[in-house]
Amino acid sequence: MITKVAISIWDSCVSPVLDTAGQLLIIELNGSEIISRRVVDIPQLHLVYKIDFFRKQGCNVLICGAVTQPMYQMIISLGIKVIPFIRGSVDNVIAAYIRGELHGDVFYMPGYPIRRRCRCRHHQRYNHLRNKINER
Amino acid sequence: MPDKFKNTETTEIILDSIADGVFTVDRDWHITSFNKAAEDITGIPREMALGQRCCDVFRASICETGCALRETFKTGQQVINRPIFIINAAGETIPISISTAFLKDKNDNIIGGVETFRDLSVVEELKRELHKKYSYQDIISKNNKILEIFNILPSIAESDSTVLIEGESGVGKELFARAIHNLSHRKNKSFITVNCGALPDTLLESELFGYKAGAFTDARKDKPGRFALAEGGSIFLDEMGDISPALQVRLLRILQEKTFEPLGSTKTVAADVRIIAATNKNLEEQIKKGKFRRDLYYRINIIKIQLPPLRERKEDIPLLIQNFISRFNKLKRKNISDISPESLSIIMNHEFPGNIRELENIIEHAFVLNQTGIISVSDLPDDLRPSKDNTAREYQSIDDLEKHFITEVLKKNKWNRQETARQLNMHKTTLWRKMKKLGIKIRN
Repeated sequence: MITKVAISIWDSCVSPVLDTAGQLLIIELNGSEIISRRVVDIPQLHLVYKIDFFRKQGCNVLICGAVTQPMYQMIISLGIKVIPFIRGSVDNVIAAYIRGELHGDVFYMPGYPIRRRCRCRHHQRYNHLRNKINER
Repeated sequence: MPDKFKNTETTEIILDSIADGVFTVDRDWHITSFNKAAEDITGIPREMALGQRCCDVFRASICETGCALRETFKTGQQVINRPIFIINAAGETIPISISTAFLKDKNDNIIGGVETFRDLSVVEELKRELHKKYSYQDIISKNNKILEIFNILPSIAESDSTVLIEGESGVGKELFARAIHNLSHRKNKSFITVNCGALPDTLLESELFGYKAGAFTDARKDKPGRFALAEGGSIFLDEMGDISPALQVRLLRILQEKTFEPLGSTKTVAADVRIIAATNKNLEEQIKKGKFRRDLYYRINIIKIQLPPLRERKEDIPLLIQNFISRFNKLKRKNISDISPESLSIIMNHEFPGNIRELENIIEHAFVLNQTGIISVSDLPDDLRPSKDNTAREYQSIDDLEKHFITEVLKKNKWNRQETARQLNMHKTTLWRKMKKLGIKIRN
């Protein structure tokens, strides 16, 4: 089965923010084999039109850096699986994705995912912060 | 930074005591220090941030498109208080303002950069609250005069009386007329607008009252007029001061008797229409000149709303700009977030003879040119931008300065000496004398 994976890119790395990313690398995978690879420009339009652009690419998976909640929600509503807050060089990210190893501190941006609470005194302030974020 | 302070506990304590977020990077964009406020704003602990690439930690809207630190390295200029947003791990956008500077060693070599940032979440929240407070129907203002009008608008709407709206061209008279209609019991019926100044007299008459087939050569079938179309609703007669005396008599009749006759018809038609009239002329002066009927003036001047020009409500400019940015983002499919402080300052100093319509045009112009997401000075129309000789100019004498100043005010007033003299608070003759003395040539 062919999977179409899109990665928002900047230079040779994953773009830090999807909402303002300029380019998308689209690869087609047949199992672990890359069949095609092309780069398209992401139009700098209002959110609604950007979402339409993602829909038109017909991708199954989107790997990106940080993404705002509205954009994330709108993309997943299209049935696209989003793997957010990823960083690193594009080639490493693709290789890790194919191997099923796209996780861990090497690929996740600092602070993501929000970790489980640690009760030690040192982490109390961060726990408080995380609570605040989760409350929102 | 002197060596003795580098990475010392003292520096850390100082940085941690600051309410603004501060981080430093080396020339490879790796974070070398990250203060407590930076942890609080980004939600990322210091130990996670240190040594990481700043874009992976900071995740700002400008990282890719216009990194402020990169700009500082490139131009040598500091960036001060630039509004942007960052994304925290929960995917929330946090509005912040950033400032940047170099970090140099003792030999004056650039070893990195420092970025300070301030959380604007509360400010933005307050802005949103204020926006709610200062918007009424589709009208936005925090000007006291306008806020007073907002207060009485529901009562005016309820009254069903004829309303006269006075104000310069472009102040938003139609918006107020619409608001009155929308707040009245007539809101479910039509709101018809007629620009009386845009049509010749004969056409305006048939447009307003309609005609019967055969009324004139090309009248092959009946056509209802605007009054008939507005039945049960409201009719907005814009530029009322421009209509001819003959038509004024017919309008007087409709106001007095609530009836009218379509052209070529012998039947009188009853009109249940609320009239909202507007003018950019001083109708009392028009009466004195014999161009407007006094009895018609008294008929329409039951409730008068006077709208101040934009130059007298400049506090509204930032609110209006934000409103236009948000509207044009939708209309033009763009994603512009804000206007730079320099551009705002230039706009605030403009006199706006064309009022809000002119401001709207300025923002639309900026939308066409803008590429960065923040409206900058280069996106503004040419006549608004300060000329290069203006900034670099050195004055030889007081006379030279005075000449330049008077010329600028004359230009602003399109070389109208009376208006310039009024603005400079001097007599017209004094201005004329000064112009002659300083060698300012008159232009038409």
